[in-house]
Amino acid sequence: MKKYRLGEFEEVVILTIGVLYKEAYGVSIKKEIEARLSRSVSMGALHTALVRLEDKGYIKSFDGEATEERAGRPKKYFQITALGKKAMEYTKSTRDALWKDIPNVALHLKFS
Amino acid sequence: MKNSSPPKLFLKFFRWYCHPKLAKHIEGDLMEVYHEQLRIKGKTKADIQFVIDVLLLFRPGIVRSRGKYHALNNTAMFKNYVKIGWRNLLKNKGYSFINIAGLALGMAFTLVIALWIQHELSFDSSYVNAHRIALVQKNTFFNDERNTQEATPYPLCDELKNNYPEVKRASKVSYQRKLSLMAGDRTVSTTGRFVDPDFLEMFSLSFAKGNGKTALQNTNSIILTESSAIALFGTTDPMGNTVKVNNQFELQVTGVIKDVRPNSTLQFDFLAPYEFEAINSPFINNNRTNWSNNFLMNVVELRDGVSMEEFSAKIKTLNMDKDNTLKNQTLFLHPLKKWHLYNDYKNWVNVGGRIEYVKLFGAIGGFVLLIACINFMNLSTARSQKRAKEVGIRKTLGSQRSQIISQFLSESMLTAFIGFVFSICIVTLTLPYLETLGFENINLSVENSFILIFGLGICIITGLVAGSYPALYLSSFLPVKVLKGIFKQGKSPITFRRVLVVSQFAISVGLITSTIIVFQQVEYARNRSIGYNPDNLISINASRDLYLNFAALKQDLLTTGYVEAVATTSSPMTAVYNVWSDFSWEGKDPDSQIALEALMTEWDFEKVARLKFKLGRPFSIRHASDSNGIILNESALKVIGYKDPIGRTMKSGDREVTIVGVVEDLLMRDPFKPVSPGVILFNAEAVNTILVRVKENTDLKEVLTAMQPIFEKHNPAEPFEYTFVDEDFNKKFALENQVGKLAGIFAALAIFISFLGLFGLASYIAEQRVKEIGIRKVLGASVANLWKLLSKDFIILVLISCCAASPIAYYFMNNWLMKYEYRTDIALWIFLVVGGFALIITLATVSYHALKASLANPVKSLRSE
Repeated sequence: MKKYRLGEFEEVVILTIGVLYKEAYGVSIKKEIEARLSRSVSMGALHTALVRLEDKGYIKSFDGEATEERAGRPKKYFQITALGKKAMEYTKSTRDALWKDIPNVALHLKFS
Repeated sequence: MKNSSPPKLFLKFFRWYCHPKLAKHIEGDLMEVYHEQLRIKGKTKADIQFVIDVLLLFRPGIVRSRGKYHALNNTAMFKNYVKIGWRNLLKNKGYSFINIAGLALGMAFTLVIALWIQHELSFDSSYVNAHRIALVQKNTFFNDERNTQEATPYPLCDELKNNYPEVKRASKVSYQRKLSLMAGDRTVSTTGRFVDPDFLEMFSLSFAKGNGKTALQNTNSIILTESSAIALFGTTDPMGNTVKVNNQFELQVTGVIKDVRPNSTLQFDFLAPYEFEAINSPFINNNRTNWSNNFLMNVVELRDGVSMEEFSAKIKTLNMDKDNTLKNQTLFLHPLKKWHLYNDYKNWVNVGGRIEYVKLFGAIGGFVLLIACINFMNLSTARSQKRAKEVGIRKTLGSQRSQIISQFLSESMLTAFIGFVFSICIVTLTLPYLETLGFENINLSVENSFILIFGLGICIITGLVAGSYPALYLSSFLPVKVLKGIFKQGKSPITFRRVLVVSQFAISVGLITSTIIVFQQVEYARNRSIGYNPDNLISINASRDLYLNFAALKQDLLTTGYVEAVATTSSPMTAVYNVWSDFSWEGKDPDSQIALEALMTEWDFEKVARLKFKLGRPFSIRHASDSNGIILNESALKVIGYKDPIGRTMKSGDREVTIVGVVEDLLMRDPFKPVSPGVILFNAEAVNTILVRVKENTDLKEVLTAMQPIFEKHNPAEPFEYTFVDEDFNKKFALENQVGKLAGIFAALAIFISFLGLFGLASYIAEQRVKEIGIRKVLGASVANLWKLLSKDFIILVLISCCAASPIAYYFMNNWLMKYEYRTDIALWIFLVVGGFALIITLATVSYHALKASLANPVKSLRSE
């Protein structure tokens, strides 16, 4: 069961990478998350998550172009790997299974 | 806008900590965000955001690992370092020997000093209640002198115990008493103390037999230590048996305690109730309520939580409150833990005491070790050229600077460790000799965990100190330069070496100078006029029997033919037992508190001591009135101020005495102080000592064999024990002699280690310049020229160190001498002699190599290229 471990924030990050598809690099991911989830994301938290995801082999990276805005530093683009996809699917299916098994009553309790 | 950049410091910080793999693009991200913020929110906010981002990025996963690379084979590398280090030691046996011998000697003596300091600091710390026990001491003002004394009056103990709730226990403690104890047919002469029952629990003495609560309740009881119990009773159980004291009183053994540890200030072989002594001494019996007679020590144990300072302040004026005639004396508490190391007072202020020597020796030990470390540094840097290629190759093969550093440090630690092993051997072998130097209580055993900790610590510290410079210096070589062979030693290591040599010699020269001054001071005090002749003078402790049979004893001794004169005195020649303040004379200022030292004696004392009379005559049997006579010493005459003293009278208490003579000052107390005013009184009853003057040119052994049966006849209960007064007198210099001897040993050691280093350095330099010497020789330089060339540098260095050390030594020794009221001057010749001595040895050391190099055939040295 330990096979695919995704933390909550890691899951958000990897999903966002998927959303951004070919435009996923540090700043764009940060902005996307901040926009969609209306929460502020610190550079530190984001990059730590990216390092962890890459270490686990769920995403891979390649160097992109350097712009003047970035003081000549290259962008690093991220892409989801096959393993990453499996991990996402696994996470989703477990959540779905959990959703499915919640008795209706439990969710409607507060209305009664 | 484009030119504005985020705070540089934080950018640098980020670049420093960030993992190199991540640095680039995270920095890119940071910059992108920064520029965006700059556009939207302005510089200040963008800067703040940047700082926050940088700080939040400082977290595991992003921070780089500490080394740039991961060392995978640390242990293997360390094995390699040790192996290479070991091979290097074997390869250069001469240098290794100098290094290790120097280190071992330095460490050995530092170890001895450290063990000695451990012993000194451990004094009196083993008692459970140590922090609550204190001695009541007394500040007095007599003869315009502020003195501090241990002795306090008899009633003080009960007063403190009964009327002060802060005091938990209190006990009177006598000074060490020498008694002869007899059990069955065994007689032992032993020292012990008279104490109150509280003493036992106060010092939590552990009883092998008997009960601490009741052991001293009975007046006629005695507690023995285990060793004195064995000496008296052998294997039989001493409990309940009687011991005959001084052939007079019978005491019952009520307890056997463990032997007193050597690191206790209060030493004793037996304990007996103070009450026993009080009952049997008319003197004490008469002074049970007298607050002005101080003859015993009072020790108190305070209750938990009572502050010593506060209680000291509370009892300050107790003596004067109890006796209105007393002036200028105050009481205070001296805590047990300070008894041993802080027992010296000047002007009522505690000025340390033994602690001074602990500090001094500690410093000397450190210095000697430092000199040995300097040797190591010197030789390693000097020889660095030989290892430069090795460093170059290691670096080319990928060694980091830190790895080179750790290589050289582990090498120096290896050397230090070998040195330590040897130093343990040295200490073990010299231990019997060390004991004669006052280091008898050194605990050199595996159980003393201090040795292990100290050994480890000293290895690491020595390794670090000695290895740091070579390690830092060698590891800084640039491989390209070294391997190309264009490596040259710069000026800085040479200067550094010179500084080291100068400081090494400065320390040695300073130590030698100080040693000579210490010995001079001792000699100076020893050779001063002491007013009597201590040679051929035998001193015997007077027991009761000897006192009673004195007339017969004297007659018997005189008829042996060896003895010139015999006399009794109230104290030995090397101590003063009585200091009286009740003397009065015409013209004495009624408010002055002048006390005179009093020596009581009878006929023939002048013959025994060979007194030197300035005026008048000795007590004479022909003058019946001499039993009321008094002889002054010169200092006393000065104090009294009579113009023509002979025949005039003065008063001792109410008794009128006539001055019959004036003698030269008798030095009986501290030889480093001026003699106090003193008087000799006629009193045939106050007998503590019997002095025997042996005729000149007689064999002392014969005399003693002749004396022994006479003493045994008149004093059957005690063994015949005697001391020679000249030896007793020399004991007064024991501490100074010990300090002098030790300083001498340290100085010798320091100079030896320094010269070892110098020898190594000189040989190395001669080796380095062998080609230069060859060429010079071929071109016609004479041996003398070459010798001068090689020796000059060292001579200059030694001269500089002499110049540096002399004023420092002068300053410190001058301070040391100031402690003594009777002191020698520091003569200039000492510095010249020491400087000359250092120079001569340096010349001898260096010349050996210089001459060897300059005498060698230049063909040999030049052929090889």
